[in-house]
Amino acid sequence: MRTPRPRARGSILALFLGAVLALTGCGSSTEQSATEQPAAPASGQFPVTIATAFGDVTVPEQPKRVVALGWGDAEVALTLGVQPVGASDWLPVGGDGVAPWMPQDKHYTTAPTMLGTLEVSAEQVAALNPDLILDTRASGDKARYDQLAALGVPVLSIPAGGEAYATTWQQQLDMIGKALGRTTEAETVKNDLEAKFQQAADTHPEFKGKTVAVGSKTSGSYGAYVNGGSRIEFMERLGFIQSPQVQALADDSFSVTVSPERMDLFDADLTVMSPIGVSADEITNDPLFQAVPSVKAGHVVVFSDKMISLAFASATPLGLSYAIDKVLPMVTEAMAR
Amino acid sequence: MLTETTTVLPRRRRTPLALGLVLGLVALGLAVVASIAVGAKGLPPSTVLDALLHHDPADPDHLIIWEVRIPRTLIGLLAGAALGLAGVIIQGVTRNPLADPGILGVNAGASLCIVVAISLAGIDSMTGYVWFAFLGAALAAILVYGIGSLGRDRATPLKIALTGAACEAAFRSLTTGILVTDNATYEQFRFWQVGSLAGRDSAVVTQALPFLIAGFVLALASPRILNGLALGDDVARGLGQNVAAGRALSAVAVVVLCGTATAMAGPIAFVGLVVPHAARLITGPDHRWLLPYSMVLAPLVLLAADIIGRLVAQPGELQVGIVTAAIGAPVFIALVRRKRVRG
Repeated sequence: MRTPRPRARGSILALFLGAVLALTGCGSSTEQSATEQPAAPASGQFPVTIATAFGDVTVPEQPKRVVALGWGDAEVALTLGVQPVGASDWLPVGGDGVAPWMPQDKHYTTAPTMLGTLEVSAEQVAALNPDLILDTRASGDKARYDQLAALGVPVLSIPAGGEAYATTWQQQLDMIGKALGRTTEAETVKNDLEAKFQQAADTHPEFKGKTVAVGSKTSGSYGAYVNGGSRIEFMERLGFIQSPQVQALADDSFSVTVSPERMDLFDADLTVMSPIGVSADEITNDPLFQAVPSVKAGHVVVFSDKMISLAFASATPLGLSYAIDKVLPMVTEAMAR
Repeated sequence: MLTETTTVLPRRRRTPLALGLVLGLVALGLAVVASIAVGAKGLPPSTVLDALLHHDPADPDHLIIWEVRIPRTLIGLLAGAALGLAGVIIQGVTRNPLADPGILGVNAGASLCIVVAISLAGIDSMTGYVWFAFLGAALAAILVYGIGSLGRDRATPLKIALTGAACEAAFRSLTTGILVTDNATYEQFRFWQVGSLAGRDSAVVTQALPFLIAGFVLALASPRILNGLALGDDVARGLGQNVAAGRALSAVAVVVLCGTATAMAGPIAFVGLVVPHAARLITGPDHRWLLPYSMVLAPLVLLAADIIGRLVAQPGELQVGIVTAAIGAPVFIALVRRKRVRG
C-alpha cells in the first residue's frame, strides 16, 4: 500500500533483463540436483519424486492447477512459464503480487487468487482445487504441512534438511522445475543467472577477497546477516567474503540482532544496509552508523530504493538478476571511493 | 488491605518510611549510573567519564554514551516513574489490586491507533508513533470511562473494569485484524509492540516531557482522593469528597501518565502492576507514601531490567518489555500468594 508499483520502469527493465539474459545465456552448470533421481525427467515425464523435509513427495502427472504459497514460489513458477491459480504476495508489491522485475510475458493472464503469507487458509486453498501445492520457502512447520497435505494433493514443503525460509534459489528452482516438468527451463534460468554473476565478478576483480558486512535496520533494531543466506551469497558471488567478525556471531539463524552500541561490527571493506519498514534516512542519518569507519570512508551502500532492496532479498532468479543490474554499480562506486 | 486504610499515620512510622524513600532514591541514582556505564559494548569507566565531561562527537564510544545510553536512561526514568504512579492510581481508583493500566484499554488503544497510523498514513518513525500512541491511549480511556459511567450508579470500579476488559478485547481484535491482512504494517509494528527503551530518539523525551510533568503533578496531588476512595464510595462521600470528580481526575492522570509512557517506550507489562504491590509491602496502604515510593521503585525496576536486557543477548539486546515480563510474572504470582491480595 505504501509502495506504488513502478509499472513503466518495470517494463523497461523487463526488456533490459530479457536482453541481458539472452546475451548471457551460455553458462556452465556445476551444481547437481540433490534428489536421488539419476536423471532429471524431461517435460511430460511423470511421475516425479522430490525429496522434502517431510519425506519424498511424488507428483503423479504434470500439474495444471498450481497453488504457490512459499516465498518466491509463484515467481519461480511464472519464470518457468507456469501460472499458479493461487499465490502469496511475499514481496508486498500489491495487485497480483508480481514483482516489477518480472518480464511482461511472465505476468499472469488470469489473475490468481491471492492467499495469505504467514497464515494460509486451507479452506481457501482447497476451494482452488489444486493438483500441486508449492511451499518450498516457508516455515517448514509440521502443522502447516499436515494441514495442507490433508487436502490430498502433493505438497512441496522445504527441502530435506532445510531450514525455515532458508531454501536457496537453486533448491527452489530445482524442486519447482521438477514438480512442474520444466527441468530444462529451470536449468536454463539457473545457468543464465550463474553466468551473469560470473560476468559481474570477472569485470570487477577489485572485489575479490574484500570483506563485506551485510545488515538491515528495522524500526526496532539493526541486524547482521550471517551463515551464507541469500544476501551473503549474492555478495560472495561478486567476489566478496563475509566479514569474519560478523560470521563469528552466527548461531542457527540467518541474521543476528546488533545492539546500537555494537555498530562497530558493521565495519568491513564494504558495508551494505537494507532498511526494512523504515526509510533509508533512518540509517544514513544515524550518527552511530556514520561513525562506523567503512561508512565514514564512503565504502557503504544503503538501499534507498525499496525495489532494489526487495530484489536483493528476493532470492528468486529474476529478482537476483535485477539486483545485479542495480546493485553492481552502487557497489562499484562505493568501493572506488 | 483496604479496611486497614487510615488517613493519619502514627508519627513513629514516618521516619523509617522517609529513610526508606531516601534509600530508594540512592538506589535509583546507582541504577542511573549503571545504565550509563554498562551496555552491550564494554566501555571502561574512564571512557564513560571522558564522554560525559569532554564529549567528542567524532569518537564512536562517546556517541554510544550520548546517543544510546543517556536517552534510554532518561526514557527509563520517566516512563518508569509514570508507570509506577499510574499503577498505584488505577489500583486505587478501581479498588482492584490486580488492575494495571491495561484495564482502561490504554495499551490496546495505543496499539490500535499506531497500527492504523502505519497502515493508512504510512507513519514509520518512533517520533511519529508517540502522538498516535498518545491519541489512542486517550481515546481508549475516554471511551472506557464514558461507557463505564453510563447508567444510574455512574462509574463504579466494577463497571469500569468490565468495560475496560471488553474494549481491550475489541481493540486487540481490530489490531490483529489489520495486522494479519497487512504484512508491511506488521513488520513495522512488531518492534513497537514489545516495549523497549532503545532506538527511541531523544526527541521523544522532549515531546513527552510536558505531558509527564502534568501527569506527575496530578498524581502526586491525589493521595487524599485515593485514600478516600479506598474506603468505599459512601465513606468517601461521607468524608466530604466528590467521588465522581475525584475518580475522573485520577483517570485523567492515568491516561496522561500511561499514555505518555506507552508512547515513549511501547507497552511495558508488569511494572505498573507489580511495583505498587512491592511498595505497599513497605509503606502499607497510605497513598501519601505509596505514590512517591512507586514513583522511585518503578524506574529502578525498569532501568535494572533494561540493563539486564543489554547484557544477556549480546551482541544484540533483549527488549525491556520482555525482561519485565520475565521478571514480573513470577514476582507477581509470589506476591499474590503471600499477601492473599484482597479486592
